[in-house]
Amino acid sequence: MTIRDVERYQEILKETPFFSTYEEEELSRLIGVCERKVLAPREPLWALGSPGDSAYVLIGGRLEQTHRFQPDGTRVDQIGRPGEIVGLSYVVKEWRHQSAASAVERTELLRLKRESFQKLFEGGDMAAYRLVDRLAEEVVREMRDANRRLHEVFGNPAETLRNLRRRVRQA
Amino acid sequence: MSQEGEDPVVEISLGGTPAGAETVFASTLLFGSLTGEEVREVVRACEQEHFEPGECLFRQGEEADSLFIVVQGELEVVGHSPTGEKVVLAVLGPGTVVGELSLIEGGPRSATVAAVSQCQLFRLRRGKFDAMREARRPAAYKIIVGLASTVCERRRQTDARVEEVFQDPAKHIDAFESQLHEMLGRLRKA
Repeated sequence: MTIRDVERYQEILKETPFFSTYEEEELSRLIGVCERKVLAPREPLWALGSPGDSAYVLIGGRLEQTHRFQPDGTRVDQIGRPGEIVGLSYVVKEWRHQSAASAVERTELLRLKRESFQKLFEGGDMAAYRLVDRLAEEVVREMRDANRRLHEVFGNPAETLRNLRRRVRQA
Repeated sequence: MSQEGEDPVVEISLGGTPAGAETVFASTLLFGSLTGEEVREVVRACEQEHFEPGECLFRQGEEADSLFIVVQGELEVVGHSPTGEKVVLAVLGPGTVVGELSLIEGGPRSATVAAVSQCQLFRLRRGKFDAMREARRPAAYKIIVGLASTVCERRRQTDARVEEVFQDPAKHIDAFESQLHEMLGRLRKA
């Protein structure tokens, strides 16, 4: 990544809600440990079940993230605002992706690998701590979602039974 | 339910620095990545509490504002069935952390937690934890990373459990039918 690239990314990101909270130096350090990634239209960023080891920050373009849920099918999220982060929890631990993500149009991203994040974090860098603050918000959402799904399936046996019978009939 | 005598002996000095508490903290997944000094910092931010058998730490629906770390004794997590019956969801022993998410956000407690035997606990209030975050203490940030790891893992287990039910519906129909009949039976009795 050239100095010109870093400056351009900084210009874009400092206008976004989350990264506007970063000091200029912090943002520069964060961008400095990222890799540039450009996807062609319809090119996958990751596939369902593939190992995830990075978070991505959208610079330009648009992504589609498809989540598969039982029993209600799929949910597709559109990621199109510069500064949006996808896959943040993968900087904490390597998990397999439970969604698929691909570019809708030509898309430019910054890739933050787990080991790069870990180095910043272990060095007590505010650039990493601010990402952890963001992660804390996601953690609460994740847990609520997990509790809701548990309740839907196991706390409502009549509805689950109807769904299961329908599946058996359709099989 | 009490397993008194089987619990590890943990010395607690109510007046000074709790000796042995660091071992309990270091044994938990949530605090496992903290250095000795960071654990001592968290211990200093905690309050020590004692609960008698039957005493509640908190009740379902109450506002969550603290995390608890079990040092000694046993707790039970209690929920209620749709017919109002008490259901023991889990029994927790030393080294267990209760109410992790309340460090980040409030909201109502999802279950009641009560002491089964005499219990010694550490309580970390969200206010104290927020102060650590505001001071950008590495210990606070390591705890959040540990929390993220735990929660994402739980989320994955939930998804796997739900996926398993719908992947092989015929295999699970009987279990859900029995659960439904039991519930209806209890409702009729009530």
